[in-house]
Amino acid sequence: MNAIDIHVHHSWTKLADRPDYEIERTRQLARQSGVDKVLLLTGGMDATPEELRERNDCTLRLMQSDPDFFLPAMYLCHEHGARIIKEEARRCAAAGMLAIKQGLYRVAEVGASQRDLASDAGMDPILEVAAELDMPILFHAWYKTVEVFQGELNGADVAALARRHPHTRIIMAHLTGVGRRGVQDVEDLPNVWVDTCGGWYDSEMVEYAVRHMGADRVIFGSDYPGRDYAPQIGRVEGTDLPDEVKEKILWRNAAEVLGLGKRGR
Amino acid sequence: MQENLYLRSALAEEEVVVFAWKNPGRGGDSMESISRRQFLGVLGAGMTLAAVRPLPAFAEEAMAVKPSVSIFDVNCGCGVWPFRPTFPADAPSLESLLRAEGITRACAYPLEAYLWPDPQEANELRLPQLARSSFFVPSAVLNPTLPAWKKGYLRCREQWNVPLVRLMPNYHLYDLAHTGVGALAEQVASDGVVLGVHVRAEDKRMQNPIAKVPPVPIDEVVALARRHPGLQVVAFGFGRLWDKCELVPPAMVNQLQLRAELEKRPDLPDNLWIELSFFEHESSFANALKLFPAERLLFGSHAPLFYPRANVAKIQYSEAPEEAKRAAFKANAEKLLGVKA
Repeated sequence: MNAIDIHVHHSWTKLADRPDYEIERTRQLARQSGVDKVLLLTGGMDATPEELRERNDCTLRLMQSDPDFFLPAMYLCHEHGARIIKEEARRCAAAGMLAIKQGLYRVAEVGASQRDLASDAGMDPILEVAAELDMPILFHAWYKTVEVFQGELNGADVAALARRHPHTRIIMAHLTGVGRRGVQDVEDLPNVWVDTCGGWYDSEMVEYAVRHMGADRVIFGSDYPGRDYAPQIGRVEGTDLPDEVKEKILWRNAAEVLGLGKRGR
Repeated sequence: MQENLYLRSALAEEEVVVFAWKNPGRGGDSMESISRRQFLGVLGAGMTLAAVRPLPAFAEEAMAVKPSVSIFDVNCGCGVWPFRPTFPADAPSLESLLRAEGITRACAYPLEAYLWPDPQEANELRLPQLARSSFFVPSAVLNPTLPAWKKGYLRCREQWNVPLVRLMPNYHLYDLAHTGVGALAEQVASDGVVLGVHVRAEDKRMQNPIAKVPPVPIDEVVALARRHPGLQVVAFGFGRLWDKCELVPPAMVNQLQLRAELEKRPDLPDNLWIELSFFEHESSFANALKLFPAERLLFGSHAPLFYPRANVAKIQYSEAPEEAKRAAFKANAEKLLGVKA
């Protein structure tokens, strides 16, 4: 069963410095593992507006090099302000981007809790422009007991954002990372999906997500290259779910959320 | 004669325990086993067992994609894991789960041994059941810091002929330099028994916060193998390249572009074997072959904590040579344990 992988990182950040070997590996290993298309993610929380624009341009170049395989997602930085955020989002959308990636969140004040995110308006322009452009946002999220990144979002943070922006579609990354608590955080929010990666292949986790969120809201993601496509697909194919549900998780849901039919891909 | 099986579910907020009955038989042929899907269906129908039928439907589906080679799984646990649902708990159901993925032989251990104060009690609970099926190669878990470890060892050898003894030092709170480990290592080496060290059982980032158990540093396992050159040592659950360890050059840590240039480390002890269930990078098995000799790599599913399909796919779909895949899937384990898959 071939798949669309909604969670693949690339490291091309400067146009003049294309990492050819890594890019070819991304494609080669995906295809031998049964992945037909990947949503390419880049970072940029610390980037200036100019640097972020260049990073997004790198992602666009990859799309142009193989539009059937590389599906592009832009990065937007909440610290750049509403005007720059929205201009960059519209520029990237016009060039063919399909989604938005968000990584860590920088808390506004030293000592401020991550929970402040629920009332902090800093992220609003990104969520507003995502709704305007009808694009999903893939948010890094995790519930960790150790090695928590500063400003790392968890399921409750994602839920707070989703409630504030009910017309914005959100993909909460790392099902195994957010665990059962994370699933329950968002299960009643129809504008939130979850992707299947987040560490190793804990049994019963995908079934749990399907039971709580429904088969239409769980999407395959590998977290390549930190992870390996084949076992990450194996964690979906190895579930005790009907074939039609696996098919939804592995590609139908991603195609729907990314609007591949509407966008001619 | 009948015996109880129990299945656990956290389908709802509160844990549910269901009792089913089985008739013991060879290879589970006569067992009224239920798949997880059936089990959940049973719960949904008011938790009546009247609907239970002998059909592992998921197993039949999985058979269609199993690899053509036979597979020897050196790392699966039989029993109940306390921190989350991990089906199945009994040996016949575990065998069905693994066979559905093309696994033809499995070296299993009692899962309860991680947390029980004397792992020998877990051996006594699970090894008789494992020994009943020719599918399983029973292996024992010991804590060599306990005064009576040797009695347990001798009983596991005499009763169940275990070819492998496993240590779980991070769960039993000792390090591999403990004198008890040295004594056990000498004993098993003289008996031709393999010694395994479970480096980790879970992702440390998502462990239950009341039970945070860090991984065993891999260099301590390497040191153990070096101290006992006549002993065969298996590292179960060695994970990420950026785990702090002497196996990886500092420049390699988190540097993707260097992975292509990584060569085998010449200073690894010959008696160290690496089980691959937690080893994962962008091309896991191919990278493992760059770090370790092909004849020292072992397939492990880490079932039922992991979906066994994931680790089968990790090797099956690798770009690595087929010969290396066959060795890791089966031949290396056969050679190490002296039994056929």
